[in-house]
Amino acid sequence: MSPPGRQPLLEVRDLRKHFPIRRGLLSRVSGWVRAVDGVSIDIFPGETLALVGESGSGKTTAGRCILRLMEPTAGAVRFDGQDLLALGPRDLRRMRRHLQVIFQDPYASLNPRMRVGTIVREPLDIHRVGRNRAERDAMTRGLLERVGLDASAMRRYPHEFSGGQRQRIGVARAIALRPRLIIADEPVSSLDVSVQAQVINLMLDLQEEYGVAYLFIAHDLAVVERIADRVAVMYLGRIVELGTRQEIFKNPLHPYTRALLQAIPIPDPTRARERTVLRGELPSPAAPPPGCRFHTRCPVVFEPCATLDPPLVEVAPGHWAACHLVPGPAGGASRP
Amino acid sequence: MTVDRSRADRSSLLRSRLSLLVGAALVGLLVAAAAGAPLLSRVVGYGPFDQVVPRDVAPPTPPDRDHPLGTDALGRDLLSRLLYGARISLLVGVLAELIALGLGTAVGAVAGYAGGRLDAFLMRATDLVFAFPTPLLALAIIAAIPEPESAPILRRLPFPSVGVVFLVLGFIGWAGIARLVRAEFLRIRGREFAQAARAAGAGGARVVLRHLLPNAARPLLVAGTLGVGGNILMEAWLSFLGVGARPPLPSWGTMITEGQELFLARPWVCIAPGLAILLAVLGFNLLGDGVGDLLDARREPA
Repeated sequence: MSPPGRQPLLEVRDLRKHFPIRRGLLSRVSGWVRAVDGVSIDIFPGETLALVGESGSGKTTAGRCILRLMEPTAGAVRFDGQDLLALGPRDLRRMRRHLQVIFQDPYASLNPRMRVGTIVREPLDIHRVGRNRAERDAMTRGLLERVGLDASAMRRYPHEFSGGQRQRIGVARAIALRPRLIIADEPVSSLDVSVQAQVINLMLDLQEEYGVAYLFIAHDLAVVERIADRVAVMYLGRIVELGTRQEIFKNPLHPYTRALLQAIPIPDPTRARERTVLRGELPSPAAPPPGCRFHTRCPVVFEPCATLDPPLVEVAPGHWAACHLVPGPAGGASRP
Repeated sequence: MTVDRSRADRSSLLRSRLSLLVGAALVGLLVAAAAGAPLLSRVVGYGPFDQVVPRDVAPPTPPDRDHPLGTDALGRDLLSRLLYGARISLLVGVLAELIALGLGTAVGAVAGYAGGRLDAFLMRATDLVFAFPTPLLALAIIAAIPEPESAPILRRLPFPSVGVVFLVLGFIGWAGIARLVRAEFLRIRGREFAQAARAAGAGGARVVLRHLLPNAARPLLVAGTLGVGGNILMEAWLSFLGVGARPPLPSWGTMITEGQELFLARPWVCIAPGLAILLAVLGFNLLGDGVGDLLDARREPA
């Protein structure tokens, strides 16, 4: 699944996060919500991997587990060859400067009681970048200007800014430490379309400038097509298809990916289109369907789907899919 | 914000302004009386302990030109005693609340941030405090210290009998504050700015002090203000029962006790301190409500 000859920056192997469902007086565990149920992905330096799926598919949970804002139930996360899950609190805090995050809601992600200058400077303060406060203030000014805000923003509070400006502040905070990977959790989903484009362009410019890699979590495939190098499609806690942007958009193999793609609006009223509307809702991750998890909603379901869980197999170099209708190459390696 | 407020919104805003205004005025009056007691009593012309009634008149004397609130059973000027009483009420009310806020914030912060077993343990400790009615608990603890003047630590305070009251009230009041802080922390901890701080590498102390506490300050301010009023009432009640400030200290509660036998024939001896207690407690309650409503109205979208 990797472009050959390069070491991945981030390796995620069989990541699982199961939340206990507690019931009754003694809060006995009566079941598990399998929010993330065996996800494996690689991210290479300077690339953008988009993680797409419906709400509830587990993409946000996967992102938080990689950042260790949540402790995963099982699996391995290696960053630059180092096992993040094995790090103690001190080492983890030191490691965090290389991995930053941009959140979805620019209204919730900035502390309303802090001035913007303090918010953006905080990562620099924590990791004691620069010789003194004055130097960090100068860096903060530069960061705000880099994301297109006036340096006078430093003394103002977050509520004085628009959604798009707030998200720029979030981006400035995320790049303050020159991280090598930024996990962007739906960074533009709550913005107007015109503002979305500005923030996406800013993120692309910064990637070119600093060579930062993005794990771009999204449900909007139109945005993904603009920014992603590779795309991983998630359904009910698992990756069902993974490939380059060209492969996913031109040659989608999994019926779920196809349905997602057909849901993108095309701004051309004269063009007729085939459209598969998915029936029903996302099943509960507390009781995922047996066999293929997608079979309850799949338009092309057939006999083995209800009983056999299709493995994720490499169909073409770098293009993986988990579907019984997709024949793997003879002896095709199936991922664990 | 340029959002049009509906009429209902506006009238409730007006009401909260009014309670803020009246509350601030009453509390201001109390603070002025307490701070200015020595000066004001000099203007009045009598100290709180001076027996000012001539020998040929039987105290208590009713209000007159010389003594606007009258004198008490021992012939002391009631206005002067009332002014000094404000010092005791305010001192006990504020100090007890500061102790409660300090302890409660520390416990609530640890419980709300750490979670798990420590949280469960600390919350059971607050349950233990809540299991007893506050007045009875305070009474029981204070009754267990019969001689505050000779008790360790307490005897070093300027007025041991007053010191024991604010210490006990403070050490009971923490439980409510701890619950409040914990609940606020649980709410704020999951917000994205707190997550962002952790993702940036912030340690527990930074997350708590710079991100969680400042965002929990509003309800704490309201609870603290209301708490001062509650403490003033509790101090008066304990002093009334005779376990708080000891005579001849002019606590408002003590003054009511001293006047209660005379109440039917000489009502002014009780009415003055009674009204003072009422207005002080009312003042803090109105101020607390007003501050809370005002902060709510200005709250930016969460």
